[in-house]
Amino acid sequence: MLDKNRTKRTTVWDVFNQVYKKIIGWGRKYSLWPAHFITGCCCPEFMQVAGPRYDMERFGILPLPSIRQADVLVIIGVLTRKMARRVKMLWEQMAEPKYAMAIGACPIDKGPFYDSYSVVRADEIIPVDVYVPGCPPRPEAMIQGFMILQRKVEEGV
Amino acid sequence: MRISWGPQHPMSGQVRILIDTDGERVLNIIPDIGFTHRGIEKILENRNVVQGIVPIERMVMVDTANIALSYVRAAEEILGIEPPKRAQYIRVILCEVCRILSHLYGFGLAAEACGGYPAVFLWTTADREPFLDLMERITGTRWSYSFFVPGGVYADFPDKIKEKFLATLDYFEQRLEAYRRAWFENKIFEARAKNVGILKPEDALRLGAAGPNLRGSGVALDVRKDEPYEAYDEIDFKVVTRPEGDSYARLMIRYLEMVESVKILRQAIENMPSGPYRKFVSPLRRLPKGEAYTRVETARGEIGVHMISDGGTKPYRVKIVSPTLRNLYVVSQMPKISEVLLADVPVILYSFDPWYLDADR
Amino acid sequence: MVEATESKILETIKSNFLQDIEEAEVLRPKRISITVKSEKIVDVARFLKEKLNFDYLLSVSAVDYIKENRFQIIYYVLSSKNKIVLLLRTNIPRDKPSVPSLISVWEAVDYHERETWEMFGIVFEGHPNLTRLLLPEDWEGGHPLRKDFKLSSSEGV
Repeated sequence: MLDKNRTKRTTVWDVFNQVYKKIIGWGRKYSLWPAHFITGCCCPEFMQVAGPRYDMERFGILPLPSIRQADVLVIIGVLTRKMARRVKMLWEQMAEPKYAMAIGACPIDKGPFYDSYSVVRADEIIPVDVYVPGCPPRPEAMIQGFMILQRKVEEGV
Repeated sequence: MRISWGPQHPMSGQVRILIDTDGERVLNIIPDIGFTHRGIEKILENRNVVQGIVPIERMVMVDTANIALSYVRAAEEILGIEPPKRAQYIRVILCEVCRILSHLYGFGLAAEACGGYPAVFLWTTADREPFLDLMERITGTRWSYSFFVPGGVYADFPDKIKEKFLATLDYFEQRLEAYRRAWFENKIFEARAKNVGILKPEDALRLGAAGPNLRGSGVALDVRKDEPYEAYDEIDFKVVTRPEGDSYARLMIRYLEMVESVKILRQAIENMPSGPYRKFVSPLRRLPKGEAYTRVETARGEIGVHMISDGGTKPYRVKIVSPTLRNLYVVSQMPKISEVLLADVPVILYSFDPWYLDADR
Repeated sequence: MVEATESKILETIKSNFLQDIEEAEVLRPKRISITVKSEKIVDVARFLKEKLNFDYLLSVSAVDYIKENRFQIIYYVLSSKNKIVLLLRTNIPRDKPSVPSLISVWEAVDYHERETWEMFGIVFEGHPNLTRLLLPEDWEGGHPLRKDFKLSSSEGV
């Protein structure tokens, strides 16, 4: 009689799978390419993160023009209803695996515009993976957000 | 053919620009704004005059001091108080640093639009860092300071950073020289921007261009000289104009205004008087009935805040007269007043330095 | 032209449009405010532009005086020669809000009158393109800056 609770013996295939996942995870997390897309007023701080002092390209983050080849959709700044339709269209055009980040207090929970008639939260539109609070968040906070996303990418492979 | 230059684009910003073309010639430019409309005017009816500083300064993040100043001055005019002299000098310092930050930003984006020169864009990003460090020492944050209040400023100017400030200004003057040599004397920039998008002075006044765009066509209107506010009447500087009216002249004006801002900063730091920095005004104080219209010269043009109060703690109506909305109308009329080719559209648009959050409010 | 002061300008306007001016005052140095009847606003505006050098239009807005059942429309005009700002006001009833457009006088009112229509519901007769400017294309919620439009703290998309 076969005992179903017996632990499976480790095979060559399992070892190969572990190594394969590690390499894919390393490759994916160090080349997260966001699409060129800004929605609100946190954008100058994002430009400073892309600048020479807080260089984000050393983490492999390179903004990319085409949405179909992008990995991350970064919502930087306030998200209004008019822009939310476009965000939904962009999210549906992206290829798997795709991730989303909400940077700033406004896409998380409307920020200083909490009673506005035209501002929406980002996770009412798309499923968000990482939230970076702040108004605007410090560059170190944005980089930490990207590093949390990198860990999530590596573990999720 | 209609081209939709949309919100997801490396160089478009938060706007959709519809361009009707016939071959290479542009027939119509239609800006479709409203992607960042937050309803600030409605929100400000629900905030008292100290709470209202937070939403309004996020109208233009690079230029927060000038925008917040217009709202705070409107509140002060209704309340009938005048800030102390030291506070006026501190306000001038913050406003001029924000003017430099904003011109660096607009000028870096224009350089990238004119030829895809990420080098100049990254130089401007790097040159903003010393000023952001100074702002952090004075106010506590890098952007969106919330530092101006009705009655003065929140905290005192730390005198021990005067030397660091002056050293930063010396470094920045060297950088301005580098920009002049690398960019303004660059043959490619001259070929792309000279004689492109010419705006004559009578068209500039008729269509409502604002700020450096008006001065780039020879019209010398600058609120800092026409109606001096804060400490500008005690500081010596000149209003920069250029007669040509093309995109090169408009970008040159921004460069020359940065040179003037450095002069203003030096004078303000050296002549700062001592004394109190704030007259305390309670945020729960009832505003007297009345109205006030203030004008402040921001980096993009003249902003106006019309505040009407009916006697409560919150204003009845706040109207913000935005400079970028006026500039965008001029851009949309450009194909009718001069010949515009398809490749000139980004150059013209970025020479007007639009910031769409300011047009949308 | 000789530099005109604020009171001289007011005298010239009052002597030309005696019965159409409801109120005219100097608010403070360099600020004038006049209130005219809404039928005569185009004539007064043309006089201001051609005879008194008020050539630069800053903006257009409106105020909702719901308790007195009226709207007040305000045109902000600057004289580039004298550096004086004039607030040209007119009152219209709240139930039938319509006023002649000033687009034949100052071309730059285009976007501003569109925005005032969108936010308050005031029809500017003669405007060639009274369509949406800031709100999304499928906005159904009414006119936001009216006083009976209440802000709520959270709404769905």
